[in-house]
Amino acid sequence: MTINTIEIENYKGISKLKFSPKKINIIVGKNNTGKTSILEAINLLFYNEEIQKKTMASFFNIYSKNRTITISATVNDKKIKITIREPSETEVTNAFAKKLIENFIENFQRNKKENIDKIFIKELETVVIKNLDDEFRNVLTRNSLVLSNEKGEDSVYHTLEFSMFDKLQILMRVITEQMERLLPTQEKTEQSKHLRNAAERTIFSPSFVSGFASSAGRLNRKLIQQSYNSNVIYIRSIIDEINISFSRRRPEDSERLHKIEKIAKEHNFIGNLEKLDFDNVLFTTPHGIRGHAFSFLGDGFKSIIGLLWQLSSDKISNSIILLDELENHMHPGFIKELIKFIIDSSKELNVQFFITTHSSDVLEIFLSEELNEIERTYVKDELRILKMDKIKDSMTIAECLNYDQSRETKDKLLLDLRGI
Amino acid sequence: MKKIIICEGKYDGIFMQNLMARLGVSENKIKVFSQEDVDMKQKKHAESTVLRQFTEKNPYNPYEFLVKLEGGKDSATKIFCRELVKCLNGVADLILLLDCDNLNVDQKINILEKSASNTYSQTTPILLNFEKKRKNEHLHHLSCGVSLQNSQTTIGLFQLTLFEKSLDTSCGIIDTDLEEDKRTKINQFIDREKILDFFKPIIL
Repeated sequence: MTINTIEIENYKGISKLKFSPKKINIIVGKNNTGKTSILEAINLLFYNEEIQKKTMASFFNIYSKNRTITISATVNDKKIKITIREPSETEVTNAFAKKLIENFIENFQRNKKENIDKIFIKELETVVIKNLDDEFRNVLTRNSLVLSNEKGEDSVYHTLEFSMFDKLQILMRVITEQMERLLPTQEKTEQSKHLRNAAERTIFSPSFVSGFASSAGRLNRKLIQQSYNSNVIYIRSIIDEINISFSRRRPEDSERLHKIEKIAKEHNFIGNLEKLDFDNVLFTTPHGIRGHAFSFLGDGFKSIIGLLWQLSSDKISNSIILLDELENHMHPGFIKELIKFIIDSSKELNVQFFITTHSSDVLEIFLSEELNEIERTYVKDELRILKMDKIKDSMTIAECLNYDQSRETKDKLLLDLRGI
Repeated sequence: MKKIIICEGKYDGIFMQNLMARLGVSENKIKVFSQEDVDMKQKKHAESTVLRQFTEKNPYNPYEFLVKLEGGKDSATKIFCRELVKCLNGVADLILLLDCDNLNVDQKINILEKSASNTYSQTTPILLNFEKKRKNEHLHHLSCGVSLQNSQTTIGLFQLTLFEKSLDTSCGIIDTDLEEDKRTKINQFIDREKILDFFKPIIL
């Protein structure tokens, strides 16, 4: 899978940006020019549930009047697009009421399967909407976004602040009372208890305190599936987030561990390495073979091993890897070997990389004569350097350089590719 | 506002330094950076390092003018396009001093427009809108507004001065001239042709 073109508008630090990536894309520029925003935007395009993890208002570019975010890309010649906009109050309250009642009924029906009339469900939703006061509506609207795909299917996403918790409890009490009206007199006591439990479960469910998606759940599921198939991996912080999901029970994991142990030895990432293991790493010492806990080793070593683990997965073929600040914790010697590994992975496994960096070492190595002929030929065709900058702190402006232009900028014009 | 003056070569630099001295600019306010300086070429990111030092907000930074000699027409145009962002950000005013050589003014403008447009074409296309201000027998002064292709709003401005042919032609410099002769001819040109009056509003 390869992104051929990408266009981002109004997303976080980016006012407007369009470019045609290659297989290895290095994104450089000063702080706050939108480098990480590019990675996040690509990730959001494929994993739109990521939208729930942010404060809604922080998605929009603060300098733009236009409160609509557009992220689109051509992937293997197929166009995909999402737009994110602020919802109307009606959209939010309707979606909130629908989801709240849906959750409540679901929780209630866990105890006893009751047929609840659709008209009554609508009635309950109306009760919710009527009982939302101005403050609740404002908070809800402020913390909501609508995400649409290219077919125009909308999903309303919102997060609920904890300050609204008391009001939510009162609201559930009103709904419970309405529901009680339905119950036959002889079952009232027992069923009322179930109703109250269902109300409790609803407001304490994680989806209500950390936000939830409503209305077009179909869209959500479909995009997750799409992202699963497309295999986009976003590595925000190598040391914190690389998930070394190693299991001794899986033979393929042992094989993979052996593979990265071989790479670590070949490239001499750590001296005297005898055996690599995520519990205990063995070293040859003058006093014989001694072990250290993996967690005890330096961040640079853990970073590179973690990254190699990720990159050596069988699943990365044809994937897109988003890598934020590749150089973190790493010595230039590590970086060089890692870059060679990245070039190799990109070439052999058809992996597209988007890498942000502040490191001149990273750029120097990609553009250096130290690469062998095969690596250099690949990089000459497949390297793109995107140099991000801003005009008046608000408008994104970027230079898109190929290999030769990058070499010229660095060697002939004597300019720092990272910006000044 | 600090000023960055981008010139093509060594003698343009001499011309500019002499001109500024005559305009009363103190020598210690001027920093000269030459792409042809071998020592600088050996330094990593030499151009950027000089620019960073020049624009640094520091009470002990005396420099008001950076004269950059880009070692050739091609480099001058390419570097100008990159410096454009700094000018748009209000870091420094940008003055470009180029030769028309065998082209007319419109053809020269066209090259600049294409180069600026190509630099950012993939990502953020920009437009240069030149306005002819003044001219004499030897020189043309144009100002140029910069705008984003999709917007009519001007986001920055820079000054362009063009020699009708070249500095050498205007000063009567020939290849066989000795260094000393070339410097003398440049000084004579500044005195003779009301050049100070022409450059005063651009430089000061």
